[in-house]
This record gives sequence, structure tokens and C-alpha cells, in this order.
Amino acid sequence: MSGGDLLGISITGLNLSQSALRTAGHNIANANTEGYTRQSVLAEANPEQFLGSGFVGTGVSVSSIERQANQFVINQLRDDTALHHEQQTFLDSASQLDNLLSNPALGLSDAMQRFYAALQTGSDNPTSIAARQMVISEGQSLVDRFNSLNERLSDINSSLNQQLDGGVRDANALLESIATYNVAISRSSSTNSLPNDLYDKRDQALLELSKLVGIRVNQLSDGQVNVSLTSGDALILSGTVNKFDVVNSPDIPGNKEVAIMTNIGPKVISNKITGGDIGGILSFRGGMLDKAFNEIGRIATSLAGSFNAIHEQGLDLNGDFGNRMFSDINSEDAIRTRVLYSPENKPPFNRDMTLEIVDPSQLTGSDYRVEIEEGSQRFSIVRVSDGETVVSNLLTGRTPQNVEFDGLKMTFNGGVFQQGDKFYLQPTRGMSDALSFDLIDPEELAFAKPLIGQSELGNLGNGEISFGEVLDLTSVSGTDLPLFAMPGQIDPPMVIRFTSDNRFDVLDNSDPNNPKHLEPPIRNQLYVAGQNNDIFGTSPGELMLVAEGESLGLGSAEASATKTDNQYPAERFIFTRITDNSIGTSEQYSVVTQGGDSAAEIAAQLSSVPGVSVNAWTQARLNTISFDNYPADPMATADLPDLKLNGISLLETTVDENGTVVLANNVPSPDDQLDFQRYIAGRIDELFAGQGINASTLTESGTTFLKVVDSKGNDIELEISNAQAVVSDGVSANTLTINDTSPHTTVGGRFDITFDDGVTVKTIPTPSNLLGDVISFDPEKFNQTIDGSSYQLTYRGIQAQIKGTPQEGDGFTITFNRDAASDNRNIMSLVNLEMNATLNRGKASLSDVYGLLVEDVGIRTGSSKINASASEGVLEQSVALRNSISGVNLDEEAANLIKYEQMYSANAQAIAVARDIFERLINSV
Amino acid sequence: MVRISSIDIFNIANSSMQKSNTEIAKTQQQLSSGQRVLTPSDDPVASLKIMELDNELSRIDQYNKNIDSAENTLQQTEGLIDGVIDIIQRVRELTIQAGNTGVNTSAQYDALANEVEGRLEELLNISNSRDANGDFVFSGFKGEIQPFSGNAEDGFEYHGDDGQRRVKTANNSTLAVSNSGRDVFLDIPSANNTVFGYASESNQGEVSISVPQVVDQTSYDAFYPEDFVIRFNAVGDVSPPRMTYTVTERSTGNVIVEQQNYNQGEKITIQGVSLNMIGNPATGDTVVVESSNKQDLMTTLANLVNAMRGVKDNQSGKQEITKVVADTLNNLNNAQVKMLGVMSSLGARQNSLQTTRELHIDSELYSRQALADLRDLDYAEASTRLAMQTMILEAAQASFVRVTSLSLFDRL
Repeated sequence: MSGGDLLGISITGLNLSQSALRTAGHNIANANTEGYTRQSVLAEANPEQFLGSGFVGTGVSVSSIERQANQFVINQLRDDTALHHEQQTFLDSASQLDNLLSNPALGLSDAMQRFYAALQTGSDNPTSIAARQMVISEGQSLVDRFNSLNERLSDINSSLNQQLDGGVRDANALLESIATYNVAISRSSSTNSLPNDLYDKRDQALLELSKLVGIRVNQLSDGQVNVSLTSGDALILSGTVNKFDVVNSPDIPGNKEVAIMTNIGPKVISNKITGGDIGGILSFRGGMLDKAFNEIGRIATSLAGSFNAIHEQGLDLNGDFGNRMFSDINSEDAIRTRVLYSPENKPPFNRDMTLEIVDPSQLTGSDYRVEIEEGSQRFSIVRVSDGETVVSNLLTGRTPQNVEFDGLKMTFNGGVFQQGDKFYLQPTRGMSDALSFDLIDPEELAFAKPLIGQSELGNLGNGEISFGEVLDLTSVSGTDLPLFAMPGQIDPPMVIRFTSDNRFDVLDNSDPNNPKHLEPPIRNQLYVAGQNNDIFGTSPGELMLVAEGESLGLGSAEASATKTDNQYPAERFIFTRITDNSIGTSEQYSVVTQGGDSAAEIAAQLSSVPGVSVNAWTQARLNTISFDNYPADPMATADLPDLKLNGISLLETTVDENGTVVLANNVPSPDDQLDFQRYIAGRIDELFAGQGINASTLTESGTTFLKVVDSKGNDIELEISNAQAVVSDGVSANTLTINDTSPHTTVGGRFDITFDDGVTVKTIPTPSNLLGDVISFDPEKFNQTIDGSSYQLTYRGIQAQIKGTPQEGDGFTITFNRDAASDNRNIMSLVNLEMNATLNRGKASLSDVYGLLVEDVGIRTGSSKINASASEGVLEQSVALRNSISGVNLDEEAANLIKYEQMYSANAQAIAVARDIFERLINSV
Repeated sequence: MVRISSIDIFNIANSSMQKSNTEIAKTQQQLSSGQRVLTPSDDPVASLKIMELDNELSRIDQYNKNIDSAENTLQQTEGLIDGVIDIIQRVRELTIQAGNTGVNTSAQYDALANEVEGRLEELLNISNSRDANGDFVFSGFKGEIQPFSGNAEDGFEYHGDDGQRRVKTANNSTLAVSNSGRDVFLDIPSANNTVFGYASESNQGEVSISVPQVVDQTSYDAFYPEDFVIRFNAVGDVSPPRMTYTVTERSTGNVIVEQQNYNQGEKITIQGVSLNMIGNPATGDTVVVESSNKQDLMTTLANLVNAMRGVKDNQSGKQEITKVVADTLNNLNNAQVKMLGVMSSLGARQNSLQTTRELHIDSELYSRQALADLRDLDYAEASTRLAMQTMILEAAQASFVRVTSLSLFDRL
């Protein structure tokens, strides 16, 4: 009631103080209510009236009951809450992981140590069944440890999924209530005053929501708010509510993702959520848990891969090759389960893709996304950890098509692949679960190596051969190498025979009485005393071409009256070397040899081509040597028989009492051919010592031959006078006779050409007189036919070394290591794996990688501790700031009570005075 | 801030008390476990190093075990070689006795032969010794196969191989712990060029060869170092059909003698080497006589025994014995040199084990020290810290009580 009179004014005062008291009481009652903003009454003086003598006041009225809130501070508080919850949740989960990995009963570290210790004990006592059994038990324990670690990680993952479920449910409930408050507020805001408590409730709901996800809030003019994620995706927009949902991850099975329900279906927004518990869970899972799964899987993969490879190359107690020790990292099942097909891929659903692990040391541990691009036939593979595109190739459409990257090989095996197809590759995640220890019998542990190199008892020199290594059991194309193809034997057993002090052949020793050359041959190899000499080639793709041209040796040579050359024709050799396999670029080199070039000269020229090396040697044989007329009567110097090799006379001479030059006394008569040839061989060895030429006699099919070998491939020039001899070259059937009429001939050499992987040759003319005719493909000899020429693979998959000073005639055998129960070489290789860098491209061992994982988890947990405590401090400050503005101070309210009580009393007193005045006025009339 | 709400008065006290409690709990845990680093997040870099040190200590432990076992093996081998050296000494004495050709009679030679044969058996036993696991010491890699078999008449055969087992004694070193029988007993230089014979493994029929002896050293020396091969021809090659053999030089194929009649057990001499063969060979079977500049110790003793058993009481017989005695003394010397060489190698290896063991002791000490520095708790610091934290908590609690008891309502 307005009015200029005292009564009316006092009543307004009473009203005000009643409102104020009520407000103070409301504040006191709600002092501990969460989210309550204290309210205060705003009083306004009533408009004044003009009463002639001046303006007179008309009392007071409540202009509004104000909510003491600062919207900026409320927003700040909400953001700080979201941040702190995210970090606290992250810390809680990270600590779980941290404790798990370092727990000695659960972590991998001491289980691996015990396994290595068992291996060492086994290598000390290879025949002990008890020690072998220990290896099997510890191996099984190690695998159990991997499996149980995987289980614990899965448990953490499941509990995260459950927390996501719960969080999403709560968030949805909050969204609903916020929407309800929105409506209520917009209805009540039609008046000038604000429904304070509704605002409080809505702010509280928004605060609770921000504990779950980080949000942005926009005020609308009608008092409603729009709520969206920090990324901008709308949750509440002009009255429409988009709820959350939990869906299965299209990428990683077993993971759940958070999605928003839009009008076109659920839209996965996991990677866009920051802040709040849900943000913390997702950030932990993607940043630490998934990585832990993959790293542990990577360790398991490398363990199984490297141990299996070595174990399968060894021999067990039964003399058989070892079986796999751990599960197969490229089993039919494993290579398929690593590829996940996106649920959005269109039918037909007959796609078949596999992912094999070809080199565990190159694994990165990351997952990969594969996409076949729309609008082109290209597909790309992106590494998830750093976002880099590792492959971008054309999809040929012809299966199988494969591509290699990061130690993996992905193959499109069959089915229909279409544009827009998406795939997710998980190379390592499943391995720690799939790991198993596959050996049961202690006799099945392969501790021995399959071959043993030994020197023959009759050796005169002091060369030593190493025991021998197996490098590979399969060739580049995946077929078995023939050396160990049959169980229990080596095919063929080999012997290394020194043909002189620094040249050796490696021969097939299947019949020790009759060793023959290998296919392809290893012959005329140079030996260097004073260092370790490798016997075999180690390049899996290396090829050899044995030159078998018609012109070689005695092919085109003739006996002639004058000095002649080896009559080799000139030829052009064109070498092609592939420089980039994926594109198919190559380089070409052309070499032209001159007519008459010796094998040594040809070898030198061809070896100058990169990727080519040539080994040349020359053999000449003489038999049926006879003198024309010696001793003649009378003797004349002109009748002296002579045999010259490379221009040097081989028959010793002396001067007799008449002054005639005659043969020396120690020169035997050629009537005893063997004796005579032995003499010549001795002379050649003496005269040509150090030049790589040596001679010996040999008997074949009843004929004795004098064999001269030039191990460098130089031509052998022969000249005879007053005598005759039959010349052959020891390989072909060609012979010729040199005699007084045609005393000269020159025998040329032969050569073997070795090509690096990717190098081939063509000749002009074709067929080549030097290399020979095209040989048709013979799969028995593991040949390859490239452009019509037949090449043989040199790689045998083994290696041995010889050092020391062997002598001519010394031999070293390479045989199957039968009954070798005490051989511990293979298990020593397994023991050495502990310290070997088998991961990270040869920079880290298994223990190193595990240690790095634990350290990484520790660092991130440690820094998240700091973050959580920092954000807690910031949150506390925000809370304090908000409370200082909006919080109820009981003392203050108590003071207010007193104040307004006094005000009430004063106004009541004023009413009493007004009544008094009235009474006095009434009573005076 | 000018205002403070009532809630905050409680909140501040509450949260600071909670924080103190958490800190105290952590310190308690450290004190009761004795470790400073409880989880990797406490000190990630240190925990990585701790793991590495733990691994290193566990490896050192294993290496020490390996060294112990290697030492046992080497000591056992040493004992066996000692025994062999004793035998060589004794046989040397007997050989010198046998050199008294003027005095000794056939009977005395027989007695000497018996004793030497006894020693030979001892030698065989030593060479076929087994270790604690039941494996043969001198078989190389073929640990379950007896290395030596044979006797004085038929010669000896080695069934083992050249393998040498190694154990890992430190991160980057391995040590050979075995010596193959071939290395110890067969690889002894012989006084003269000598031979050994064997029937080829690929023979279809059955033929064996006695121990070939060099009876004409000069002839044989001229032929040395070639080997020769006795090859059995087809029965129908000659008329009337009978088994014949042809001897050729192995490396060249040059014929030495052709189509000799084969008579079982007949002593034949080829290139100064005397041998006999028994059995029924098939066509194409071969017997090889290889030259060698080495003679095994068993054969040396066997030659002495055979010579003394078969001694003839005449001038040439005595000359033969004298020669055999000279050769035997020479070979025994070489064998002793070999055995001493093996002993010194065993000794050197044991020394190296000792050095490695000492290195491991040092390494272990340093590692444990480093581990303690990183992982173990400094009790003095922790107790002081606990005292301070307790004091802070008490102060917080006391002030909480004081501050919260102040309220205006109490005074209304």
C-alpha cells in the first residue's frame, strides 16, 4: 500500500524487513546446499509525491531478490572442474597400469630373467633331461605371464567400458534435466525477475555435466542455454536434445566409443571429447592402454619370431630339426585376425586380406588405417601413431597383390575390393594373448646345430675350420633349400679341398672316393692366410652362370706354326641391373671383349660392372708326349727336343764333352710316360712358383695326363720342338697335336660369373661363343630362367670359415652333425638373444623395450600426478572465488538477521506511533 | 578476496587435513617397505635403471653358476690328463728297458709287452671316461657315444668328433670347457711319416683292414704325402674269374699295381706299407690308406706291444726292435709335449675363469650399491619427513577446531 502517510510507509518498511528476513532465513537454511547462490534483497525507495511544500517519500519496496552470482566465475569454475576431473580420472587409471607393470608377481621382467637362466643352465648341460625340462617349464611360465598380463589389461579395459556406460547414462540424465530447467526458466522469465533457484539448479546440473564431459554454454535471450561439446558438437540446441550413446568401436574390437545421436544416426565423437571423466577415460585408453597392449604384443611377437627362427634351425636329441618353440606369429589364423574390416564396407563380403610379420625388428607397434580412395584406384596406408602415410600405391585389381612396410606384409588375397573400403590393421595387439609354448618333450628342444666342420686327419698344414652356421632353411621364394631338405642328413656332404696353398674347391663328397663339383660349382676360390675366410656366399638372391661356350679352352684353338692366341672371338656383354624393384627401373652396362682376350682379361673387364664378379682359371693337359729322334746319332744341338710353357723351357739341358747341348741326366725318357710327366710337373712347379701355376699328373681311363692349371685364368702357351704331344683342356673332348710342323698352341681359360640380386646378362652374338647356348629351365637344379639364360642360385643357407695356413691337398669336411647330444651351439644362440638387439631396427633388446614401456608409463603417470594436483589447486581457487561471491557466510547472515530484526522493530514502532497519532487525533475530537 | 563463505572455512581445513593424511600414508608405506621408489611413477628414470640393474644381477648370478660348472669340468679333465702323463712316464721306462736288445730274451719281451698292454688298457679307460652327467668327456659333440674302441691287433677307431662345448661366462665371453678326443689323443705329431687305413663307408661288401705299418720308411717317404686306394675289381675281369684288386694313387689316379689276386689275410706290402685285409669285398669296394704326419697315442703303444710280441731272436729282429724303440721314444715325447700343452691350456682357462669370477664380484658389488642408492630409502630423511608431516597435520587439526568454534550464532 503506497501512500504518503506514516502508516503506509511503515507497512512498506515491514514488508521489506519481512522479505529480507525471509531471504536471510532462506540463505541460512541453504548455507550448505550444493550450488546454492546466496540471495539478497534489493530495496528501492518508492516514487515521491509532490505535496505542495516539496517532494515527500512514500516508503520502500523490494525491487528484486538478487542472486549474487558472477557468470564469468561460474563458467570458469565449470571449465576448471572439467579439467580436473579429466586429469584425476586419467591419473587413477594410469596408476593402475603403473602398478600392474612394475608388480614383480605380474610384470614381465623377472619371468624373462628366469627363462634366460633356465636356457643358460640348459646350455651348460645339454644332455641333462632335467635341465631341458626346466627350460620347458620356465618357457611355459613366461607364456603364462604374458597371457595373464594381457588378461589384466583386458580387465582394465572392460572396467573402462563400464565407466563409459555409467558416465554416458549420467550425462544423458543430466541433459534431460537441463532441458527441463530450460523450459521452466523460459516460462518463468516472462516476468521481470529471475527464478533464482531454477538458475541454481540448472547451473548445478551443468557443473555435474562438466564433471563428465567438457562443455560450452551459450546464453540465449529467453534465458535458455545451448550446450555443446568443446569441439562444437551440439548437445542441447534450441530445445532439441542430442543424447549420448555408447557403441562398439569400428576399429578395435572390445573397445566402446562414445557417440552423439543425431537425426542421421549415431556419430562417433570419442576423439572430440576433452575434459571430464569421460574425456579422461578416452584419453587414457587411446594414449596409454592401447599403446600398452600393442607394445606387450610387440615384445611377444619378437620373442616368438626370433626364438622360433633359431630353434627351427637346430637339431633336437632325436637328430630332427627343431619344431616351433612358441606359437607361429604368422599362423593362418593370426594373419587374418590382424585385419579388421570396417562395418561400413559395402557388399559383397568376400574380401580376404592377410597381414604377415616379416621382420619383427622393424615393427613400430602402431596400428594402421587402410583406405581405398574414392574416385581412383589408389589405396593408402596411414600409420596411426604419427599420422604418416607409409604406402600410397595403385590397386592393380589382380590378386594376390602385396605391399611391404615397417616389417609387415599386407596382401590382398582375393575377393572384391571397392573404392571407399576401409580397413584397420592391428599387427601386434593380439599376440600376447595368442602366445603359447608349443614344446612338451624335453628331447624336442633343439640345442645342437645341424652341421659340423672338421679338418681331415691327414692334413699337413695347420688350417682350422669353424664349426659351421646355418643361416636359412628356406630360399628367398619360400621353398626349402635343398641342403637340409631330407631329415637326418645333409645333401650333399661337402669337402673343401685345397688345390694349392691358396686356392680351394668345395666339392660334393657323397662318394668320398669320387668327389665332384657342386651345382653350381664353388671352385678355384682364393684363400688368404692370416684372416677368417668365408667359404660360402651369403646373399640369398645371388645367381651364377657357368660359362660353357664352344670357344672356351681348346674350342677354337689350333696348332699352328707361329705363336698364336687362344682364338677367342670378340663379344659384347650387356648387363642389366634393376635399381628399383617397385617401379622397374634399371641400368645397363656394356662391355666389349676383344678377340684373343684371355679368360683373366675377360674376367677383369666383366668384374668392373657393379654387381658382377668373375672367377677364371685355365687348364691344359698333355699326354702321349714323345721325342722325335732322341738321342740321335750323331747328336746335334738342332735335334734337341724342348717343351716350352709360356715361353720358358721345361727340359733341363747340359753341355756334353763335345760341346753339344744335350738333355741333362736327370731328365727321364718319355718311354716311361708317368715318370717323364712327373718330372715335367716338378719343373713347372719349380719354375712358376708364386705365379699361380701348378702342375700334376693324373690317370684317367688308363691314360696318364700332365695337368697344368693357371689359377688366374691367363692363357697357357705351349711350344714344342723335336717332339710331339696331344693337347686337351680337361673339360671338352677337343684335342689337338702339337709337333715340329705346328709347334704352337695356346689354351684359353674358363670362367664362372656371379651376379648380385637383380643383375642379368645378354650377349651379342646369341648364342654366345663364350657363355654358351641357352639351357632350358630345369627345376631340379633350382635354376631360374631369366630372358632365356639359365642361372643357378648360389645361396646354400650355411656358412663356415677357415683360417690358418693349410697346405695343398688338405681337406676339410662339412657333414651332418649326427648324434651330437653334447652340442650346445644352438641353445647358445638362444641365450645370446637376451642381449641381442632384436627390436627397434636393431637398437633395443626385449628387456630394453619392456623397460622403456614401464618407464614411459611411469613418466606419464608421474606427470599426470603433477597435472592432477595442479588442476586441483586451480579448482580449489575457483571454488573459493565462487564461494566468496556466492557462498553463504553464516556470520554475515546472522548480522543480517539482527539488522532486519531491528528494522522490523523500528518499523513496528513507527506503526505504533502512527496509531498513537491517529488515536490522539480521534480522541481529541 | 574480501568475503569468505562458511563452506570454505570447512573446505579449507578439510582438504589440507586430507592432503596431510595422504602424505603421511605415503611416507609410512616407504618406511615399512624400505623402498623409496614404490611405483615407476615415483621416479620413472630410476625405475628403468633399477630394472636394468636387477637384470644384470640376475645374469651375474647365472654366470657364476656357469663358471662353477665349467671349473668342475676343467678340473676333471685335468685329473684325467694327469693320469695320461703318468702312463706315458711308465711306458717310457718300459721302452728304455726294451731297448736293451743285447740282454732281453723273448720271454722278457713278452713280459714287457704284457705290462705295456696293461697300460694301454688304462689309457683306453681314461679316454673313455664319463663326467658327472654320464656323458663321455672326450667325444666332442657326440657326448653319448663312446669315443675310442679297438685293441692292439686291430687298431683303434675314434667315433667322436672335433666339437668343443662352450659356456657363457660373461655378457660377451664364452669359454671352451671340453677338449675333443681327437685333439688330445689323435693330434700328436709322429716321429716318422706314417699311415692309417680304413674301409670306405660306402662299401657294399664286407672288408676290413689291419693296422697298416710302415716297414720300409725310405720307400714310403718317397711316396709320402700321397694316399693310395685299393679298389676291388669285378670277378669276371680276369680269367679264371677271381677277386682281384688294383692300387692307385689317390689324387692323380696313377696306377701303382694292377689286378693283384686277393687272398684273405695275406700280408701285402705297397709303397713300403705292410697290411692285410680280411672279409668278402664286393666289386667297387675300396680300402684307403692315407698318409699322415700324426700318430695317436694308443697306436704308439700298440705298435710297441706288437713289435715286442712278434720279436725274432736274431740280428734283424734286434735291429727292428731298436728301431721301434727309437720311434716309440720319439712319439712318447711328442705325446708328452701334447699332454703338457693340453694341461697348460686347461690351466690358462681356469685362470681366466678365476679372473672372470673376480670381475663378477666387483660388478655385483657396484650394481648392488647403485641399486641401493636408487631404490632404498634414506631412513633418516624419511623419519624427519614423517615428523614434519605429523606436525603439520596436528597444526591443521588444532586450527580447524579453533576456527570452526567461532560463530556469531553462539553469541546471539
